[in-house]
Parts: sequence; structure tokens; C-alpha cells
Amino acid sequence: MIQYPLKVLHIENQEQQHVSNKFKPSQLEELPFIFTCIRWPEDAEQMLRIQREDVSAQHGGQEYALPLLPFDVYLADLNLRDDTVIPSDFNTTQARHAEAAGLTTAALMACNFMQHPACIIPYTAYTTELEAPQYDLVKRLLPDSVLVDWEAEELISKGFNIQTLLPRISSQYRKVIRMAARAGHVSIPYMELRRLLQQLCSSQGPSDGTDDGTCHDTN
Amino acid sequence: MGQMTAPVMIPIEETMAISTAWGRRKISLRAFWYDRDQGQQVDSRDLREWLDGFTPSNDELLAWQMALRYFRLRQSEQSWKRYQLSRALQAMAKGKDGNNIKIVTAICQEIGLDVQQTMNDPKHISLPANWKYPHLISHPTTKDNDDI
Repeated sequence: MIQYPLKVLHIENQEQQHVSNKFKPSQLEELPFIFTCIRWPEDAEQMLRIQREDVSAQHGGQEYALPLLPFDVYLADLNLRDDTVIPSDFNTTQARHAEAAGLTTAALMACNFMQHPACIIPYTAYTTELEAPQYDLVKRLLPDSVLVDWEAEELISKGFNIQTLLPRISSQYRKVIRMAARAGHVSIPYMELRRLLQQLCSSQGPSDGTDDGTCHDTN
Repeated sequence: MGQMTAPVMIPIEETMAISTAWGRRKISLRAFWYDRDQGQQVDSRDLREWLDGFTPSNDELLAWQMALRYFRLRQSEQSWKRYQLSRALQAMAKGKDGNNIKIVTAICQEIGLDVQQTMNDPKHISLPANWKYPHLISHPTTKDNDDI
């Protein structure tokens, strides 16, 4: 099992589409991500209600000890509407029927923790959903600290597959952590950067343009 | 992703430490570079470029500037003279006069201090302004170092 994985929230109303149901447990353990799957905005609301105080209490602490909220990555089904007939006495709200409810849930959750780098990877099986006014609205007004992988649109046209989204978690988070460092929300200690460069590229020369990129496998 | 120019293997236990508003956090380095098709291999050029893209924080830059400033002060001729004078006075306090009287006399004359007063009461002499140096951590409420 990989230690210190990225925390990913998967927002998907079809339970059978959840990442946790797409992989065997042994495969999930090999991933450098830990997934929490929810179906509805109400689930997100409950998580916020229960954990927001704890997150606030740990702000300014020495050691990061937040196993769930705030999430690093939101993998969000754009729309959460389905044709399920909900019993009239079922405790639900209108939130899930909102346009682009998955994307909006992810965006609003991320905005609760502005100093915590986060990226959102929206997806949909229907290209027409990308024309939804709510999608356009969120796209225009999200703060810079939350990165949205708008290029996921390209993936949709190539045929949606949850496995194809996993490498995007890495590539998008690489971008967002650098953006957050530039904005001063996080910092990577200089000695840590030196250590990684020396450890992983110990045989490389200085990166002054004369670097030939030679870096040997350390294993 | 095409063919890698110089693949590097990221060990399973490798992490990157990040300072956040909620404290120091470690994240698996593999989480930044997951690609099922490439296994755990990363193009070293991509890895280096990404790591090089992180700039030092303001705190780190200030710490470097301070360290450099005090390194330069430590290398100065005046610092060396102050050190020699302190050492000679401490040796004299232990009864080791020997060559130390000559050293103290010479340095006091160069600095412009009263030789006898310096030898009798070294803790209460005040260096001329151009021979003083600031405290390591400057603070508006602290005064520059008057002691030798």
C-alpha cells in the first residue's frame, strides 16, 4: 500500500461507476490515490458539516493530519441527474437537480478551503452537457487557486473511461501544486527539492541549459 | 507519452514534503507522476523541470540573505580583530598575560580604545560606531551590540 496518497473525492451518482467499484481492492491499494466516493451534493454537505470545524481547528498546525477534507482532487461527474424515482418521503433536496451539480458541488467544496490546493476534473458522457449555462458560469468565476481540467472535454470526445482519467489526476495536481506555490499557499522547502533532485537524478549535471538530461535509473 | 529520454524509477516510499497552512505534509511522489502505461518510470527531464519550477518561499529567501550577510560580516577584517581582542582579554582574565598584552595594546590603538580601561574593565567598553556589528536577528527594540 502506498503511503501518503493524494485524497480524491469522486462525485458520481451512478454507484456502479464509482472508482471503488471499477477496480479490485488489490488494484486500488497500488494506486497513489485514496478515493472517497459520494453520490449527491447532500453527501458533500454532510461531510462539510461534520468535518469543517476540525479542519479549521488544525489550521496553523505543525503536522498535516487531515485524512479526508479538504480533498486534493475532485473527480466530478458534470451532471448528477438521473431517472431514479425518489420516494416522496425520502429525505432529499433539490440540489442534485441543479445544472452541472457534480461540477458545482466540487467547486463549492474546494472554495471552502481556499488555501488548500485543489483541482477539479469534470467529466461527462454527453458533450451537450458542456454547453450548459452553469458549466459556463463556474468556468468563468472559479478562483485561480482551484484548477479545473477543462481539457477533459477532449477526453469525452475520445470516449469516456474512468481509467483514462487517473493519469490526469497526477498531471493536473502537478500543475495545481506549482500554482499554489507561486501564490504562496504552499511551499516546498529548498532542501527538499535539492534532496529529490540529488536522489532521483544523482548523476545529472546542473540544469543550466548544458544539461544533457542524463538521469539513470536509481533502482 | 512518447519514448523517454532518460527514465528514472520513483521508489514506492518516495515522498515530497510540502509546507501548507495546515502544517507540514508528505505526499507520495508517485501520486504526482502516475501513469499506468509507463509503470513507475518518469522522464527525468520532466521531473527535473517540474522540480526546478518551484521557487523558494519569501521566508527562505530572507533566511538566505541573512545567512549571506552574516557570513560576509564574519569574514571581515574587523570581525577577525574583534575576535583576537576578545580572546586575548579572556586569556588575560585567566592570568595568561604573555603576548596577550601586546595584542590588546595593538588592537586597542587601532580601534581607538583606551588600552588601560579596556584591560581593567573589558565588559564596559564601547566600540566606535564603525567597529560595531548588528545582532544576528535584528529587531527594532534591540540595540546594536556594544560589547566586544
